[in-house]
Amino acid sequence: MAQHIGADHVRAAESIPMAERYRLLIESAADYAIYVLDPKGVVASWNAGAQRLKGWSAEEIVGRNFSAFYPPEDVAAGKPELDLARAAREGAVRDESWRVRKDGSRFRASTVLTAMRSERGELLGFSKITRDLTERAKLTEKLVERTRALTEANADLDSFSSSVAHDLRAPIRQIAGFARLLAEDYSAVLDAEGRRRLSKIETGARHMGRLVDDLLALSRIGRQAVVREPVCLRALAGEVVEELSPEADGREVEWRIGDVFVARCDASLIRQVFGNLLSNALKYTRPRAPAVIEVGAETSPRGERVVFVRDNGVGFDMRYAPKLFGIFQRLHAQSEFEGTGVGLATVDRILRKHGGRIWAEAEPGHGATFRFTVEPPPAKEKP
Amino acid sequence: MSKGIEILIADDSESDVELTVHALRKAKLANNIHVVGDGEQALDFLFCRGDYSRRSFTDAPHVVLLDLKMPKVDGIEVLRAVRGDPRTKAIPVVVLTSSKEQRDLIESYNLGVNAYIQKPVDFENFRQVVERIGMFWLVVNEPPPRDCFARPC
Repeated sequence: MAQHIGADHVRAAESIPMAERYRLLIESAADYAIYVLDPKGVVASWNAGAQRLKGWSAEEIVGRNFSAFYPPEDVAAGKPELDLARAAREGAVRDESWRVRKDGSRFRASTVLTAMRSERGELLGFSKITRDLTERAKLTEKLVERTRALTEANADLDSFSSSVAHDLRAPIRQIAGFARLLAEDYSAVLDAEGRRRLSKIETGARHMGRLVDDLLALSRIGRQAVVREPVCLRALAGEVVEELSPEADGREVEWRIGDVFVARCDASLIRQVFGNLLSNALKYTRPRAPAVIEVGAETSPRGERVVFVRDNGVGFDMRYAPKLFGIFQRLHAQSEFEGTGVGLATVDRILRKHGGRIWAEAEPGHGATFRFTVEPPPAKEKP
Repeated sequence: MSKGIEILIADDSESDVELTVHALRKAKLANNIHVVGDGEQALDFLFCRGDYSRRSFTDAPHVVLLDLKMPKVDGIEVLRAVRGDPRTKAIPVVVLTSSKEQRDLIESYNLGVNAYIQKPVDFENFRQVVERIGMFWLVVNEPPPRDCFARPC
């Protein structure tokens, strides 16, 4: 049915003579001023778009020279004649400049002036297409202004949080320090409840300290430039495992570090990525014997080179996966698995700075797999 | 006669100073600690002037623990003055501060600091760090001989 109607329309259009079809096409182009000039620049035709943009009706303007559209200083400089000469010489002149309306107001215009020649090469005149850029220019200006404001607000927020975190370090250390000295030197004068409460102060201060240091690390990443160099990710993962080994003391942990590629990335930042993911894996496999933690590489369906970190730990419910990389978001109770909720947010920020991404897959009780890329996706396919 | 000052602590945070001194004493590392609360006093002490005019350059401390953010004269200025004078330039200076800003690190090392340590926020780590600093500069390290300060090195 639809096809039938379409065919009817085509047939109806075909019944209109070719010249008439072009006239209608030009007439209906409301956002473009489309008109014809004779070889001397005198306006010979005028469309509805031209009237809308410039304000003159066809009766008012046909027969007048097109220099009326230029600002007085351009006319004085001979720009209309120069444009005509150049179009005649080069075939066409594209320009973005100021034009004037009938009422004298100016607008930013994008123009194309094209020479029209007969088959023998004789100059018949010019076609002129003008588009009003005022709206676009206004939007661009607004966009630039908003982006600047946003960047500024972000930088403010960053320096605020980093200076707050920074200034909190000393008082936190002092609370923890004096609580410790109290516990060491005065526990004899405290009863059991007193000592319990004191240890609560210490635990709280210690947690606050970690939180502040993690926040500082996160805000430092925002200000730090990514310095790319070829990095052997397998070796990097190996070094991190080495550093973590004291934490695995007294536990049965099987590390499987497979073949991982060499990537162009920031070694110190990607070390933090492995540090966070592997220490998480170690933490969440605590109830397992043996804990199995695996690092390897694979290629995604999009053709990206992907690194994975897999464990056989407690896993998590995929319903909460969207929260995983948010700051201060935690999926486990502090009493069960300690943490600040800043680690994965840091990882996410590092990888996004690299043009890469991270995602996770898990099942409660059946471990978790984190996958990430450290490079932008291959150019032909954008996510 | 009492021994000379072994450690000069320049730090405006009384609580941090108390924790530092406690950690050093607990490790039986320093009997002769002197504390100043700002950069001006630190300079008076090190350059034997003002309240310290009776001190002698040859009795230089074995190490200076220098905080960077201090009133009046900051730690960087103290370091610059100490390194800029032949009578004090050999004194071991360890920056012990809250900041780990790139700018502070670069400036301190360019001025020839002997070590740069960020005060850990965790107290156990802090205590360990202070003990290690004391152990290294007072026990392990051989301090500059008195002659170093008597005439230009």
